[in-house]
Amino acid sequence: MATAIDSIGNRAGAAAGAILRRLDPAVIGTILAAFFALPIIALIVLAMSGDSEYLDHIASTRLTEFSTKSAQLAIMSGALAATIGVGCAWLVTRYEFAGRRALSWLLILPLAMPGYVAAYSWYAITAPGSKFEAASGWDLPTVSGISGAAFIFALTLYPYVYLLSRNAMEAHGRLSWDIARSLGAGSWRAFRQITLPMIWPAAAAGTALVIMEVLADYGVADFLGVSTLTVGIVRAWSSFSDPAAAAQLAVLLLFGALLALGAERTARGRRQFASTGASDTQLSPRSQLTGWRSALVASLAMLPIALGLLIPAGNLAWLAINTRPSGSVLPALQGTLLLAIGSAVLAVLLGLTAAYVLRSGNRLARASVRLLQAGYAVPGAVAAIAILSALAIGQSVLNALSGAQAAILTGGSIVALLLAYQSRFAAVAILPSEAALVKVRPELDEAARSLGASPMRVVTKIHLPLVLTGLATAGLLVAIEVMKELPATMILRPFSLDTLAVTAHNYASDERLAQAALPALILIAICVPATALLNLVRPNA
Amino acid sequence: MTATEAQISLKDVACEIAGKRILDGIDLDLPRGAITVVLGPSGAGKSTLLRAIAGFEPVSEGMITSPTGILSSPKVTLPPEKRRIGVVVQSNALFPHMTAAENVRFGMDRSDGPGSAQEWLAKVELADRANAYPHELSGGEQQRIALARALARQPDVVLLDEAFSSLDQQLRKSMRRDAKLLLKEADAAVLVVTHDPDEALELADTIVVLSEGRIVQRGAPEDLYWRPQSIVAARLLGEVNALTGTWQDGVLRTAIGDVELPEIAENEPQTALFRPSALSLVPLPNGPWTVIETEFSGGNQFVTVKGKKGETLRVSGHTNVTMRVGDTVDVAFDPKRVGWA
Repeated sequence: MATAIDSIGNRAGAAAGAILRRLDPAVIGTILAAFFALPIIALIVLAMSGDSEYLDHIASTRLTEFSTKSAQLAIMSGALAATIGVGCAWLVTRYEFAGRRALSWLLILPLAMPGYVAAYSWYAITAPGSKFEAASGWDLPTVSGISGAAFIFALTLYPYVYLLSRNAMEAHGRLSWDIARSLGAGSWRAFRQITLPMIWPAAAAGTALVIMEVLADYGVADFLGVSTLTVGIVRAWSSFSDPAAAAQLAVLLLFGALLALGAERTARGRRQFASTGASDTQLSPRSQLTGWRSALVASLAMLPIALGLLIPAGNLAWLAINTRPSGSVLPALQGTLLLAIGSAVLAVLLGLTAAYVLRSGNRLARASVRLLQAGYAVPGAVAAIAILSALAIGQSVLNALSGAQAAILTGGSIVALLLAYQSRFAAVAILPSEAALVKVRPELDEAARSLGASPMRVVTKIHLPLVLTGLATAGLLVAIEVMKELPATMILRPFSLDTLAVTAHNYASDERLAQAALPALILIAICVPATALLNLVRPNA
Repeated sequence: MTATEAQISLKDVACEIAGKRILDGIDLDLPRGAITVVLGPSGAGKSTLLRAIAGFEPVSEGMITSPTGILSSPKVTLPPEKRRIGVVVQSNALFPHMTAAENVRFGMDRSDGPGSAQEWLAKVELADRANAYPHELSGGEQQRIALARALARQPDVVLLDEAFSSLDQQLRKSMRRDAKLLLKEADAAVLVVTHDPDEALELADTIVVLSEGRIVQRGAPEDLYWRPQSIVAARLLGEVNALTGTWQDGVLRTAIGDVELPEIAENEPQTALFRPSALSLVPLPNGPWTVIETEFSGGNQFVTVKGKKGETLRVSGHTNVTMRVGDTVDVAFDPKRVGWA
């Protein structure tokens, strides 16, 4: 019996192997890309087919406002985040001060803070007549409107700029700066002409990521009362039940996001900024600061962490402790974990497939995977509407074929939601998977086999340990993103499915901030350690 | 302007980084038109010495001066951009977002002399690569641009930190020769930090040996090569045989004979140091040394001989006196070429 099962297993394995061998990477790549491109095409079709009544209506009233608000907010947040990110990167790479090593990675953590959570918390602190203002007697400017939103985005998204600029400066910043000084440049000229241009591509790429996130955001803008395109999309969908109008706005937003992506890619131009030699950290150590200078720089670097993470999280904790919860958050926690884990597994599988396709070196295959990676630029609301468009078009095709209402495809299902997540976040899993696969060089197989290892042992002792960290990284990255995601979840979730993000958002929208505190806090309690873990696993990523 | 005028003087200089003393009691004059090479094992403080002279590192004791005044003291550190220095480092640190010509032009004052960036590029034979970006240049070309960039501002002091180490052997040799001509022409005080003995011997007017933050020996290359005064200094410049002996009647008795050491050798040193080429072998039936290994390397033969007590010596000599394993010999030495430790 056992041997019979074994032989069936073997035959199945051999068959799968044969299929895999015959599958052209270019074909897999194209299928993958097409699978994710189809909803976008459906979105455009739907946007063109729908009558433009709503669009005409908002065009005469609010379309300009939506677009300009989105653009304004993106520019303000981008500029502020770039200033904080580059500034902090400069401090931790240029100077040696008390607590520098810890601060250098703590500065990444505010990225784990969902923007809308920071927004609820800061609003609760600064709203007119808040307990804090009553207790302290201070009159802080209220965090709301477009400048409030820019403040929140800058404090929760600056780590993108910080991380990329820090790595760029670490690689060759100090030495170049020293050399520029030795060539007669004062510190300002050295910073302006050498340091800034050298880190510009990294800082620009980070800022473009910030702008993409700002454009995609729904939670912060909706809560603080900024009418951006994404807010318009979700409203068109949920309040006006007008998919065509939502699709039309989504196309507009997609165009904006792709513009940001394109701007980042072209910023580099002809000039390559790769260092031309080994980095000489020995020759150019950090300038040692002592006494009050050290304390001053340490507190400066601490400021974004305090404003972006510690103060809002602390306030939420205080709110949560002092509030009787109005219902159990357990279902929401379960929903969040279910979606996060499911998405992480799916994304790792997709990421691995894409990485394998990339490894084949086939040109068409590579092009399709790179297209897939651009999926990250697609805002969640757009992805959701695109999936719905595809389902709607599929439904009408089915109806036409069967001549009846074949109601098998529905929106508001977990499958639709998982698909929407993948179209955005599978892109996130590709890079770490690719990096993991690169480590499995063919010579290693040969070396292991020549040392007498069986193929099974090669897989378990060589391949798995090599790729495991990379795959875990990819999974964790995707899980964090999914847990924080709001707009796509709002649009696509089945009504029975609650998540922490949605629960917190619903309470906050009703101005029941104290009730929003607990789910928001749990979200932080999961995302912050996960982000910390990520940065321990790959300190330079 | 005489060749001995000190452009930079270090007096009793000490440097501390994060409470750790990296340099201690450094006295050093860098004369104009001369090349001073600093040799030392890694961690000896070579780069810190260079950084202190450049003004990147403050001194905690002593003083660095130039004819125009104080450059560094525990109280003041003149910033690097005010010191008229030129620095070339191993990784060349060309600004990646600037062309070759823009890199060279970066440090030039317009009022400064006749030399244009283009002329400097021509001097390093790269006139045709003016518009190339660093990543479009080969390693050797990058290093030439870095040298041109440092020299183009007509510095008073040129500092080279392992400047040619990243180049391959062949390229390093030709680069060294070209660089030496340009450096001499620049009439600046030149300080070279290296761990390559060939580079030190070929470039230096004076070699300074640094060990654990202190200068342990200084002198002309020949002096240091033949008469090192410590094992550290001896090893830094190449292979060496160390023979311990006993002190008797004012001479050091060793296995190959009595060594007379000059008076400056303090405290009756116990070890005599011989370069392989300072020794010679004399065929002698039943001699005290037996050939145990021979290596042929082109013009030279390296011969390892073993003594009665098991001690070994490495001797190099011309291949016209061929030795074979098992031959017995006597070992002679050149009395002017003995170091001690």
